[in-house]
Amino acid sequence: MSTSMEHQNAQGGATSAGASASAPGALETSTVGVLTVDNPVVSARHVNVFYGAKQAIRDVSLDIAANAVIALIGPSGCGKSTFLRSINRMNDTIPHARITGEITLDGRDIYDRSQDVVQLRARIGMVFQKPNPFPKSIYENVAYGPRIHGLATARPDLDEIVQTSLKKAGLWDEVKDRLDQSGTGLSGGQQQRLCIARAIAVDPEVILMDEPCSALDPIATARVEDLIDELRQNYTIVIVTHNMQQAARVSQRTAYFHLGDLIEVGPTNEIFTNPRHRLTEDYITGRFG
Amino acid sequence: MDQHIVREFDSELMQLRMAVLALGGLVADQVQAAVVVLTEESTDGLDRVISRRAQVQAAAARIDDEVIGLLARRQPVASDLRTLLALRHVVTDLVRVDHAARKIARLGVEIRQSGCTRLSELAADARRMSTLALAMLREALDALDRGDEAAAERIQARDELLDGEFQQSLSRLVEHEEQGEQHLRSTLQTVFMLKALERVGDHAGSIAGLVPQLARSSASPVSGTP
Repeated sequence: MSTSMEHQNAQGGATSAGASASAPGALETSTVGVLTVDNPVVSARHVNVFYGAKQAIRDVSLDIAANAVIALIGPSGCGKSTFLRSINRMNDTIPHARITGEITLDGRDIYDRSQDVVQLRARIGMVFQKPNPFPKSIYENVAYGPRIHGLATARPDLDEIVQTSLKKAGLWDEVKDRLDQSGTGLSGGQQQRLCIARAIAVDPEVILMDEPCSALDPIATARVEDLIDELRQNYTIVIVTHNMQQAARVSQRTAYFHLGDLIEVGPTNEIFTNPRHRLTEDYITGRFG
Repeated sequence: MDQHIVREFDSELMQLRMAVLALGGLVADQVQAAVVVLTEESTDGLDRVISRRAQVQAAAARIDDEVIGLLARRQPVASDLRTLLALRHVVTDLVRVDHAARKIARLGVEIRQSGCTRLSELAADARRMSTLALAMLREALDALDRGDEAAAERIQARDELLDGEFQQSLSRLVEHEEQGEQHLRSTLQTVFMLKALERVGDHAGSIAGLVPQLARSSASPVSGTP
């Protein structure tokens, strides 16, 4: 696969200004809080991302636990979306983007040359800020992924996946009688849940959500948040949100980014009641941002 | 600590603190007025303390409404949330001090009207305890206002002094009771009154205990910069 992103991990000895020379796995960082978890699904070590000469994130190390929601918060330009997009190599699509460090999924380096990026993105699904259903039927929106990934080809199998995925996304009852209608004809909240159904149809391990509710009204937001809470029984979820109340409501762990640094990470309850770092405190109490 | 981006929130928090301190001043006056009842001929002092109850309750209710409103509108977290909850605790303590003041005033009148033979000695005990308790209360409110953690610590330590005064007064009462110099009813009233004064000190200590929480809200509860 051709990509404009050069990945050079620290084991290869390539470092740039600000990049850590530490071996992957070692945790020498000024981030406040516990970065590691037992049996992480995703593990980032000393990750630096550059867009051309500009460094977007600096020496970020963070474990992401299974069957839990971690919220990435911070002001605009802090690097939270960049970090999110590094987890399923979405930054590969950005010209002049470059990453150093290591990110593993189930212990395997996702930037390894042998990694199939299409397969990776099936295992690490993504839901975007703006609902983006394909201009196809509701059924096809969900069936498309399993079909191209070869998870199912026969109609009954696809029917089963579509129904299960729409049920998991809490949308089945609302659309079961109009599966042949266009996905773009649904309301914004329904479209976002359709996108979530589309993501889970290919049976991912991790779902990345980049401000999934920013275009939704409070009712639709509540439905998506309720859905996130249900989904975490089966999936690992990483959510970027500017809505701190949302981060507090849906996540079990929260990570605060500031100007490309991971400042603090900890249990959400502690971050929102008793943050340890001044910058976290200032941001969540509305004294900075 | 820096101001909020929404400056109106700073102004609301400041007004809330001022309202709590004003309530504190009113409640301290209640205790002072209650102790005077022992040496007054009339029941005017008791009437004054009772009549100001509505004022205390209304002020406490206004603060409570304001706290609930701020919780709903500003959805505070971290130090802001702790500040609001701490101020609410302070109000709870102040309302209980007011309750103690009414008890002191009512029992004071009853003791005086019962023809207690040791009234002047008792009034002296009550004055000593009230002086200590009131000083603790006023200094706790002052420490709260200034965010003075060291002063708050000293106030908490002084609670032992007040407890000591209470124990000594009790010992004297028991001694007189054993000598048959006082009616049981009057003795019990005196114990309850002195206990109410001792409770004022406890509440002052409790308010002082909240100062670090409030002081850190206006300074830095967190580690340094990256």
